[in-house]
Amino acid sequence: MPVYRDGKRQTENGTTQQVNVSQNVNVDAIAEAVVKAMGNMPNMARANTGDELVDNFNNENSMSKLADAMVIQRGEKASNFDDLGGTKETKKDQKDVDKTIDLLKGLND
Amino acid sequence: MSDEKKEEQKGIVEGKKAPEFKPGAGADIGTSNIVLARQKPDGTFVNRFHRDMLYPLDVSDESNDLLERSDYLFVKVNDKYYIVGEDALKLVNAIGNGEVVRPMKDGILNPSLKESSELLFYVIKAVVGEPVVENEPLRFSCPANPVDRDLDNLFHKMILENFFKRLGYDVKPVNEAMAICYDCNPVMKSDEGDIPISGISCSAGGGMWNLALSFKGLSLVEFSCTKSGDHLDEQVSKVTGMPKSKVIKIKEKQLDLNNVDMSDRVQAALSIYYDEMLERMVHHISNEFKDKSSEMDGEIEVVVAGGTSMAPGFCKRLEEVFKTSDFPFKVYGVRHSETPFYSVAQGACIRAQADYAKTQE
Repeated sequence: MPVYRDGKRQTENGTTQQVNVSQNVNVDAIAEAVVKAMGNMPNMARANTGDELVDNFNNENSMSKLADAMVIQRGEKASNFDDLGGTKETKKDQKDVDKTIDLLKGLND
Repeated sequence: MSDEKKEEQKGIVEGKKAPEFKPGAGADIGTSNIVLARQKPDGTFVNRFHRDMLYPLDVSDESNDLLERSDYLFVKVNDKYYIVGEDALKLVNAIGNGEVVRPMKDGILNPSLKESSELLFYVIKAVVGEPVVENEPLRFSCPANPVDRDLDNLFHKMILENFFKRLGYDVKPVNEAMAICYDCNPVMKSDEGDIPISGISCSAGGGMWNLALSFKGLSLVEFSCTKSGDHLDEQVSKVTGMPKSKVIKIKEKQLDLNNVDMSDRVQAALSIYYDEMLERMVHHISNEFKDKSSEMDGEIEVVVAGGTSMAPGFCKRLEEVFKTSDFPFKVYGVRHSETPFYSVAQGACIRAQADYAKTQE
């Protein structure tokens, strides 16, 4: 964790480095960049524009978009497998299974 | 291995090949395991299962060497290897350092672990594979919201729905306890005769219990309760001073609830906490189902599955608690699933097959 003293960064041997901090941060430009980067997110609120936050992610539509954004696989992935898992085979009385399927296909869900 | 061979292994059907599986897949995305069930035309259920764990390892010469010399399964993302499944557990025990990452917590996606959730999708994809027909129906298990804790499953449900859609499935969630109901078929005895798929189904998992009351396959009430098997392990560990891993070992290898060795303080404590848990669950069931007694005009059956139900004598104890408690229904029996580990996935598979049958009418 770097230590700062009088606007200067203190190194491990006790000497200091000058740190230049711009006071003229363009908040609008940053907000614009964030909105651009997260273009697939619904109704982003923008700083300093007076726009109201119209989506607080509490409805199914916006949750779906958020979920969609989350399942995007970021970064390259490489693995040493194509498929995974052990298998276990079990048997059931097929007549019972067919009866259950017949009953369930008549139900709405 | 040729592409054709790989596809045959997964049951993927293209062109003129005969289908290896019936259309309709069921997925149980649990805190500890992922299980995918499909059914062959001869009626056999094929359950593919994988431990839901990851172990992160920094990319280095040593780790490269280790992975080249071993057969550990891994995913490499940027500057990290993630060892997956049972291998994650083996490796963390061998190294004796670090911790495995669990992408799921209390039955839903662990909200504090975004990257591991992405890896979980990668792993699920490798377990589930591709649809056997276009827009194949897939049902995935989803816990009900708990009555004893403020936890919402909406986010978990939406994320998984989107993920399976991306894989090309026509996906819907199915309540975890209702999946057990479809697999085990509880029967209600009434004056009109036996009524199928009617009764109480329980999924006793590590993190929570899921419960449902159904009538003719229709869910009347669904809910869940926390403080299940994992909670029991913690409490016994606290009162006996025994590490949790040893408590789990005794619970899984030695405990018989029909014949408890009371001279062993861990077994004695486990027996006491099992009773406490069963009484608490039956109390919740009474509260949640009491308004439905008029709709269930008969004696009902209770079916049970899940890892916490594996101790011998579990169902007998549960039956005794039902008999001695002030319960709104007459319970004539508690039945254990014949395949308690696969019941949720198989029930979800049966539900997905019904979805497919509906599209073919």
